[in-house]
Amino acid sequence: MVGRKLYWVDEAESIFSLIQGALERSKAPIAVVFIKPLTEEAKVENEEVLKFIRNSDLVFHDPEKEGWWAVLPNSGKKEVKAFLKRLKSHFSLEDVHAYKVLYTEVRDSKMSLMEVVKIMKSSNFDEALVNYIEGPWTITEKRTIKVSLIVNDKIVQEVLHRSISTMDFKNFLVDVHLFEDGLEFESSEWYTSANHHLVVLDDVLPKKNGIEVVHFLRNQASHQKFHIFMLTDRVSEENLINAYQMGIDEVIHKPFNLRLFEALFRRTIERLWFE
Amino acid sequence: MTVSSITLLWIILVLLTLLLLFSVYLTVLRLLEKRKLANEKNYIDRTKHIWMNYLFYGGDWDEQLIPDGPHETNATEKLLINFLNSVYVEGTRQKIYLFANTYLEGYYRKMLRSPEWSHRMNGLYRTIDFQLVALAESHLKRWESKKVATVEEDYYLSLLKIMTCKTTALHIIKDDEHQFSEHQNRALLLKLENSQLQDLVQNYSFLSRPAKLSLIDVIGEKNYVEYQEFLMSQLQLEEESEIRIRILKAIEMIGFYKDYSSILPFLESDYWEERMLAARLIGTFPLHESKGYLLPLLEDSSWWVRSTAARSVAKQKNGTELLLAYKDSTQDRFAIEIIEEQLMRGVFA
Repeated sequence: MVGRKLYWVDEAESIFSLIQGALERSKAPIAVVFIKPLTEEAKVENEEVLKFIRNSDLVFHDPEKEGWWAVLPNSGKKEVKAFLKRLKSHFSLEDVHAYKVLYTEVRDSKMSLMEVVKIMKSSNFDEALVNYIEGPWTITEKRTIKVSLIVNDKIVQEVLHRSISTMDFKNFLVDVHLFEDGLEFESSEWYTSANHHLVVLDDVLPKKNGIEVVHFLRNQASHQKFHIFMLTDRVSEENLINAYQMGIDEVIHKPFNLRLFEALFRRTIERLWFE
Repeated sequence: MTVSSITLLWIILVLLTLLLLFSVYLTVLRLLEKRKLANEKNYIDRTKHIWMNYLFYGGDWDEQLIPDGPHETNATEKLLINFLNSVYVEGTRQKIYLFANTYLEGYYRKMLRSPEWSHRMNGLYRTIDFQLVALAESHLKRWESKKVATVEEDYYLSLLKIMTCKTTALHIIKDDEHQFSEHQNRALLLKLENSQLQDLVQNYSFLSRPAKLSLIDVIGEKNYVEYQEFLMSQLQLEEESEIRIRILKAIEMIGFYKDYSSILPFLESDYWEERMLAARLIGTFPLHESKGYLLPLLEDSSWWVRSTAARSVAKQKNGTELLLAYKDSTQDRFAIEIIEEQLMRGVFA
């Protein structure tokens, strides 16, 4: 368990790089938080800090002994706010000026912890008690999301392709491939790779139908990366239940409103960004 | 040469000539078909982006969209039907209907006047798909005094009457003159509001058999809980097994019923379908109440009933343990088999 010792920064570096390894797969950044006590009451013993911290969190001494640092995996700004609230409650701190806090979100899997600590401490921050520090680690390259359109009707496929291609996403690039049928999709190997993958497919397809493709995808390793939309004109509740039980994420009944599809599609992609 | 040889040669020559003529005929047909497909493809390739812009992305009207000739008209029809059945945004349908009224009405008018039944039927389908109200009215006027050839044509003419507000779906279902199929009745029933269904429920006994079946199906599909008592009471009164089976299915689809006492007699029905559906319904109640009814069904003569009973027990809390205990206590090999099957299914789920 990581949170059982107050490390030194060089010890923490190797654990930090292990945590960074998961950044590629997970959507969530790593929050790095510096707590600098400003009052005597706020200065607590190491054991007290360890009692407060979660098992999955990493704490280490400040190199200049001005306070302590916490590394919170799978955490962003909201999680840091909740952490600070918990801190105040745990240590029963009435005084709002008890701590000075610097925090950041690390989204870069190659940035060293010591570098982050150094840059954060030397950055210009204002008199506010809680400061969010931006650095080269907060911005990463746009992630690529794969999209497969396996739609029988060429015209509808083109309409969807055009709609998706014209969408702009702040944190993602969308790479769309078109397929004529399920067999072509499975033979392509386009579905391999760790990228998140949205699949839009008809239930009825030549050669290999939509249901078979769903079975195939849900039997892949890391099948959680697939988000499957199925287009169907079968409207019974029984079919809906079967579809969801089989692993389809969204059932879209034809004829469908293109704007609704675009909104659903956008929402699905935006949810992949941890904020 | 003998006379018979000359005759034989003539016969062969005539046959070869006929074969040649037939080959030429097929080749010409094929060429015409290819030309038709090429013209259609040409139109679609030329106009599909313009159509997409116009229908989905607020693009301007372009006169290139107006079809020229029967092939392009066919292609336009295919394209627009595709859009109607697949995808739309606000205003798409109105644009399609307006286009059809302006540029396709003449084409369908000719089809509706055709002596060929199949042409008239295609014309009727498209008149309804594209909401060609004026055409519908003039066609109905022409057919007022004529005899309708088939039930299908009668059905589509009825749809035209509903479209032009000359009648309602309710009136058509109640009218004994029409001998529509279950599927056609169902399509009409799906057009009705709940309050209109109430009228049919009250006059249930006067409905035709297909209309009764469709009404029961639609009540189930639409989850009209308020008709549950009606279904339960009909279940006791109905003499025909098929209708009772549909009622049980509809009750299952509605998904909510206060007590199953009226369903219990069906556990001993002569019809396996009724026993199976009754088992499914009773299987939704807690095991401590339902096990007494479900466990004996594990020894039923029908595999479907046994399987349903096993599945209903297994999906509940402690259901697997109950099945195992039953397996140890029973001598019936079919029951043992079905329990093992169910347990395997659970392992691979």
